[in-house]
Amino acid sequence: MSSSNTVLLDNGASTIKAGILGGHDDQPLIIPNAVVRSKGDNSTYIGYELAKCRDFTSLRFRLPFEKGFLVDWDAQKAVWDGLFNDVLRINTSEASLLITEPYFNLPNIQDIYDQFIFEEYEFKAYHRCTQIVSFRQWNMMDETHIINEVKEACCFVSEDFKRDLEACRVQPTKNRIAQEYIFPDYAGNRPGRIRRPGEPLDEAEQTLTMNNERFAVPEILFHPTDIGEYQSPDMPRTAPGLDQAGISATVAASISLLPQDLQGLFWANIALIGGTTALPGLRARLTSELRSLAPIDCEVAVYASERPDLEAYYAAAAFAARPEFSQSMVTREEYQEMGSSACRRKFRDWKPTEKEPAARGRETAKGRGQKGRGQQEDEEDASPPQPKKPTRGRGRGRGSARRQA
Amino acid sequence: MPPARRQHPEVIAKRTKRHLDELEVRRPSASWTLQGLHLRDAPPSQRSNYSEPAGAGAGGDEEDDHGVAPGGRTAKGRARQTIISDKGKKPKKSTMNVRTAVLYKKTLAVLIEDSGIEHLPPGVPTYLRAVAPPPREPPRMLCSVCGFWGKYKCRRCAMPYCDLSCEGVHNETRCERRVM
Repeated sequence: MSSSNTVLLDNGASTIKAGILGGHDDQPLIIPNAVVRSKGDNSTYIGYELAKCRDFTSLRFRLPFEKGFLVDWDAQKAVWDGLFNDVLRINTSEASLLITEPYFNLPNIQDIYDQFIFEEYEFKAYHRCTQIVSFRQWNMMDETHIINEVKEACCFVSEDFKRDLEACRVQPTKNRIAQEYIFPDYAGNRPGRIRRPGEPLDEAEQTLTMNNERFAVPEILFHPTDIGEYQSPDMPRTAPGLDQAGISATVAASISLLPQDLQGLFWANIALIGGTTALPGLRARLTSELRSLAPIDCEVAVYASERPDLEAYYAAAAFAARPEFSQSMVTREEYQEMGSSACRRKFRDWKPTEKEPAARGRETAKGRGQKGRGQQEDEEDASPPQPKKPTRGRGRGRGSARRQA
Repeated sequence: MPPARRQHPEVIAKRTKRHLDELEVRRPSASWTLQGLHLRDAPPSQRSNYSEPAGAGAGGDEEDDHGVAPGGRTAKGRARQTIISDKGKKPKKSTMNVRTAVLYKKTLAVLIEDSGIEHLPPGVPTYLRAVAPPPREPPRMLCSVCGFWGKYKCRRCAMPYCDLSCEGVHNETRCERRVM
């Protein structure tokens, strides 16, 4: 098994980061995890094909993931077919696979992963797990080194919502926040861009003024109650899902569930992974809010990296490169003999199941420790933001289209 | 939702099996094109019910289940069109498990119920239990039209607005007149 290829798949809800161990360890291929219908081009683009799209107006996205879980297997299969055959160009029946899954993945969904991987793609062996970001691999960058690409991003996280909201009321010429985003002109081959101050516009060019929206949208991470039906004493709230505390309070609540003597350790080692954490200003805002929530004598440190969207992939590559990795995999033969129970036994999971004694002791010492809320506090797990790489803040597959350049 | 006609379970089972068999989730031979999805000259036994590029998109557009019954069948009783990609080398039929998963798409709510995680013993943390705590402050009132502070409330529907011009916009277009 060591001589064959190992495919690494950080199978995300927005993008898939994929590569072959030993070939793409520093730079995975990033493709949208979506089937996209373009009315303008009258074409359907599956996964990586979105890069060929010419007309980005009226796009219809069909996403395999719903609320963070893989539910649409028709769409996922289509994306994976293209990924394995055209992008990675491998024969899956001769390869092994390491694939990531969501936290708290449902057991019935986990079984379907097994079915597709062994019965459809016939991988020789595979391991499925949640994102385990190795702290040892963490690329801790000093803030001054963090690259700040401001290319097309309008969104950012405000440090002071009240102050910025009031700044938006000022007339456009003196308004330091408002930006006009000029829509792209696909016929004339001009990409979208932010209008420079005083830049003249063509007749045909249409703009979108982004004012408080620039920071009010990311603000809902910190104040989920900002959205949803208005609540009055007479009317019950009709959007119950948003009656929640923001990310800072959630982090604090999670840490408080850990043993007292370990809490300080976690406050001092909060890491940000995932593309959303790249929103500008997010790290500073989170740090400042956490500082007021943490005990006074606790050090609070939030770590960021240059590519938070790729950290899980880098961790997957590191994990798969270890000699003991092959023992954590389930082979196709084992699956044919025992079905999904082989996977339930061998893969680490939030559910307590009987494990073979051999499997239990071994674990990459990432402090996975407790499941559930414990996972949020994991040294390696992320709490949000990092001001490194401003994204569009919308987190759709388009991030990867940009990556294709 | 499909009409609630009582059908013999045997009939339903037979029809389901036929749909699954019809569904050729197979990996066709090579020579695909990049111009969307085209049907090649597969032998009749391998040909699927996929008809043309628009079909794949239509399949996607029906994600809201408007055109497709929950059981994976269209109103006419034919198997739902799936996305057939031309990628792949072997013309081989997929297993029943895979075909079922592809044809019968379940929403997350249904999957959660099927999973039975609600009934796990209280000590086990699950997706449903790992929720953020309730908010510590009352919601901020933001203008429903422009996003600024919403100091005033609509008398009829209780939506907030910030000034007279936004009130005007609200009354003309958005007021739901629900509550007096």
